[in-house]
Amino acid sequence: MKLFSRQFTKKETVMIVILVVLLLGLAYYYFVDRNVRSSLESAKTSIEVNQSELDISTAQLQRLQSMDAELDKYEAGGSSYMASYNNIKAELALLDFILAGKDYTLTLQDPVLSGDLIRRDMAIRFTTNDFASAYNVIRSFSNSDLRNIVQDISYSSSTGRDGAGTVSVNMTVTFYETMVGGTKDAGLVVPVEEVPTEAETE
Amino acid sequence: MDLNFSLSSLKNRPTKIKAPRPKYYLNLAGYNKKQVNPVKFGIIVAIVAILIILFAKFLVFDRFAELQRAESEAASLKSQIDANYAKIKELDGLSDEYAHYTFSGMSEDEMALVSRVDVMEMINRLIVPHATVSSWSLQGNTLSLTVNDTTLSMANHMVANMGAEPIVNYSFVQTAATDGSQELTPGSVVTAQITAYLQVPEGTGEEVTK
Repeated sequence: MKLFSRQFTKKETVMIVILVVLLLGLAYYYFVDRNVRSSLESAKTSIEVNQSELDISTAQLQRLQSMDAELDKYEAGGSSYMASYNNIKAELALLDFILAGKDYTLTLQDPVLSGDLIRRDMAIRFTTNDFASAYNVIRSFSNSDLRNIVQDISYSSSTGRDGAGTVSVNMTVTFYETMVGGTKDAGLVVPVEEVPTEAETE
Repeated sequence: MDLNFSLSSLKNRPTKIKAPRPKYYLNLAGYNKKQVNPVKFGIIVAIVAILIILFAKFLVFDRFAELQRAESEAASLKSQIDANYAKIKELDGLSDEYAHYTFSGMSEDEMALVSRVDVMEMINRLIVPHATVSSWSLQGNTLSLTVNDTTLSMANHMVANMGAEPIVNYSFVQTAATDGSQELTPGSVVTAQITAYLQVPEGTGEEVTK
């Protein structure tokens, strides 16, 4: 091989070829491989992070969409509503409306928190004229917009087949409220297992 | 030997045509220059070209293509995330609204309670026309009825009718007693206690809570 008017020996030629290959390799490493490798790693990290965020956001979206579908179902079925704590005023107004014209005794328990749900038990004793009238009272609770469950009922009648007499009903009704949009107060019973630990509050 | 010749004969003799002498040149520029075999040269050039092409393909273009694919995948995921968050923003406030309607916090026992209205409708339809209902109680899903002014066979008939109701799992006459004030014949008036175990009909799950 001859370069710059100088004839190189075979050994020199081989050395030059090796040097050229090495230089090309170094140039490839510095200008291509290193940059591509670093960009690729960064892109792969982005893919992992984005994939994880996508999973989270998809799960969140699916949960919301399922809530939306469920809400549509509740609306179509005329489902009852849980007001935010404390809704005692509306509940007493409802009782006043339902039990109007009847002798009654109300015993209210303290509301108890469970998760976001609040249960308020009421023992109700009322007397009325007949089965139909007692039925209307219980149906009024069931048809109320405020969510409640009539739990246990004890019915006794002194009415004969002629219809004269009175009926007496003892029952327990649970009204439901939610802490979402509500404010805790001293009247709310929070069971020990519901009290957040220090670690949870931090 | 005839030595008789003249100089003129020498002049007139035929001239010999000499062949031109070959010329030799010394080209110093080409001194020591080796002759390259064009076939060998072509093979070497082809091998070098193939090596360059393979190098460019696998170590340059493919790697850039891989990088581009990875970057476009990351961008595609990002755009899906943005689309998700846009939809989530549209549904903002839904969680709060849902909290006012959901049944998720209620216990299994609460969800399994049979509608009290359905129970009273059943009593009114199946029991009241045939007997005097002096008392009844409903504890969870267990109904206990005390009926007067009926006969044992009528009590049995009422129990059978109750058993056919979708909200009744099992019902039976628990006790029956005459009051002792009348002549004891078949069809005597009795006071009977009927018990029924209730169930939420299949296909519904929110009887009480609507």
